[in-house]
Amino acid sequence: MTGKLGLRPRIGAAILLALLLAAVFAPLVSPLDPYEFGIPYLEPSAAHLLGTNDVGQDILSELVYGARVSLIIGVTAAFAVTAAGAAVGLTSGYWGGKADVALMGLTNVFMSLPALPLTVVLVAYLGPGLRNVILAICLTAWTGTARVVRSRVLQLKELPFVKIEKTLGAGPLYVMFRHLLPNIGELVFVRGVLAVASAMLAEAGLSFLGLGTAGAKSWGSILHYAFFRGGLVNGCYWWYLPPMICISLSVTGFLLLSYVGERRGPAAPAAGAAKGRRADA
Amino acid sequence: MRVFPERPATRPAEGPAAWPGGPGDGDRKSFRRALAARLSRLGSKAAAAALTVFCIVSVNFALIRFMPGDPVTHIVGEDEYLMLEASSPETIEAIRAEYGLDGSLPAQFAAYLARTARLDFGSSYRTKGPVLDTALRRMKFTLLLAVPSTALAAVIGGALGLLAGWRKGGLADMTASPVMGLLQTVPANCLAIAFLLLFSFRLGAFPLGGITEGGLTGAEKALDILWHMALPAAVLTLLKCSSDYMLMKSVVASLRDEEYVLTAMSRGYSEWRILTGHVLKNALCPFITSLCMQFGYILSGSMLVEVVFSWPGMGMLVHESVAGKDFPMLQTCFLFMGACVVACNLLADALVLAIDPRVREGGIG
Repeated sequence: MTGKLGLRPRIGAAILLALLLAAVFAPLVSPLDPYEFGIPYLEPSAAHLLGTNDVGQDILSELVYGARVSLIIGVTAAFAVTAAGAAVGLTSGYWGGKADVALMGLTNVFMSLPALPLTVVLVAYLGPGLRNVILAICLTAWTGTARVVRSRVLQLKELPFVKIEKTLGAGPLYVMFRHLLPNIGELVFVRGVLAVASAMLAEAGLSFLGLGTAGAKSWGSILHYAFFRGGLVNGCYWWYLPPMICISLSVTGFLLLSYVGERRGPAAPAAGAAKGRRADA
Repeated sequence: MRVFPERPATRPAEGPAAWPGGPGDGDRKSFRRALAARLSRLGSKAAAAALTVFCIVSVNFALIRFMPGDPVTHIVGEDEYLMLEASSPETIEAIRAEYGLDGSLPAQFAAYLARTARLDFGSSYRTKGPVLDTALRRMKFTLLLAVPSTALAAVIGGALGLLAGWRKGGLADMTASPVMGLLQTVPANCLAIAFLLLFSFRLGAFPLGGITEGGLTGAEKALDILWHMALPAAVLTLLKCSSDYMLMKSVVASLRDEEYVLTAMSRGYSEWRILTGHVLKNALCPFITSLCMQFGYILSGSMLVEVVFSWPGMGMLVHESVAGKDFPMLQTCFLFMGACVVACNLLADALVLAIDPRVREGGIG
């Protein structure tokens, strides 16, 4: 991860940095209070750079505050998912035997659960809200990372340095954390970055269906109101286009960032594995 | 929920085993042994699938019972529950009995399993109609949308991916990769909204949603349905296409450096022959596996698209059931979707067993 970054991860990092700054300093950046009512359906103007929605809230301010919720959900869920997936993959791959069978069985069961409907059902039962949305996203999203990490650990396990450590009497926990973890660091990082992108997409989908964070503004919920409250029919392009662009842009940012260490094969995510190698060369 | 493609789980084996049509064909004894091995592998996969379905049923059972509050609340809705509690508590007891929520938990579980095995999912609390009929009808509509889209996407995405992976930086790679990459970042509902805006609102070329105008019969009805499904199917095809493309491209790119490809090249085989006979043959297994797994997800993956185009499929049903707090319906939908994913995974295993000589001989796996 050190050294010269390719063009792609740099662009990704720049996009994400801009988003992060907007989210952190939302009260300073946003021109108005996004919850304040005003004149509805205003077209973009100097007073409202991106116009207003059906209850007269400033859309630019909504977007800036929305970045907070979308990023918090994306990053928190991705962190939890990646940590859990890596832990399961490491344990399963290194320990092998019964632990492997049990953990992979569990992984396969969770992999077979249809993710979006389960998330929808869970949020429907638990009620909308930041915590429940994150919980529901996490429940099924860790499986991919667990599998990828496991297969990488299975390869690493056969390498001399691990065998030597074992022969020298190093305990499994020591080998796992001291030797294996640093070696899968890049892989885990890439998986984590991709997890943020897919968690943000999941949140956008949930919020679009009206199951997101009740009350708090997110990009998905702006789109929800724009779609279900006549933004489309009335041709309010300033209402529905910006959240769509924001979601796509941030997902693009994370996908670009995931090219960060694409020099060698196994650590690479499949999405454009071949392209990444060329960009880094 | 979109899952970004990973390296295929079944990676092509290295070494001489990867040679197509390698040793092992021929005498009867080994054939019989191979068949037995294949069947036993399939049997263990089927057992795992059954276990997964059992888990899904258990999750369904647990969801409604371990949520905070009286489970009946989730069936009738909070407001009505409070009203009933005040006016006629015996109605609540009747509902409890109807939905199998009385008695001890193990007894409830046994009863629930028995009912599920009989495909008796009760009646929807919202519409009072039997849940099963509605769910099956809606599933049909989703399949009508999903099957052609998946097939079309697999062919287009697979073919483009094959070419792009084979010739890195070639015409297919340079033109398709940016488009497919862009599609990867667009959420399904955004693409659907964009299509709806452009083709329905602006150009007026397609209907705003639904499945048919009604009042039509025969060929006219079929045409009308086709006209209605054009946009949602196009959106689904594009989205599927991009992930199929990415997968095929990365698989082919990794196969390109295999020794058997080099050998075939040095023997002077034509590029077309190497592509179809060697590369495609080896790339097909991971591709089919992923295709089947994706198809399981398409029942749910088309959810956002269905909602945007108000296509009366499974995803729309889930959306309506959530809005109407129709939990018996929601549970059944969830079970169906889960069962579909499991069935498709099993199908993938069976197909790979059937077509891959390496797995057939019990060589890898």
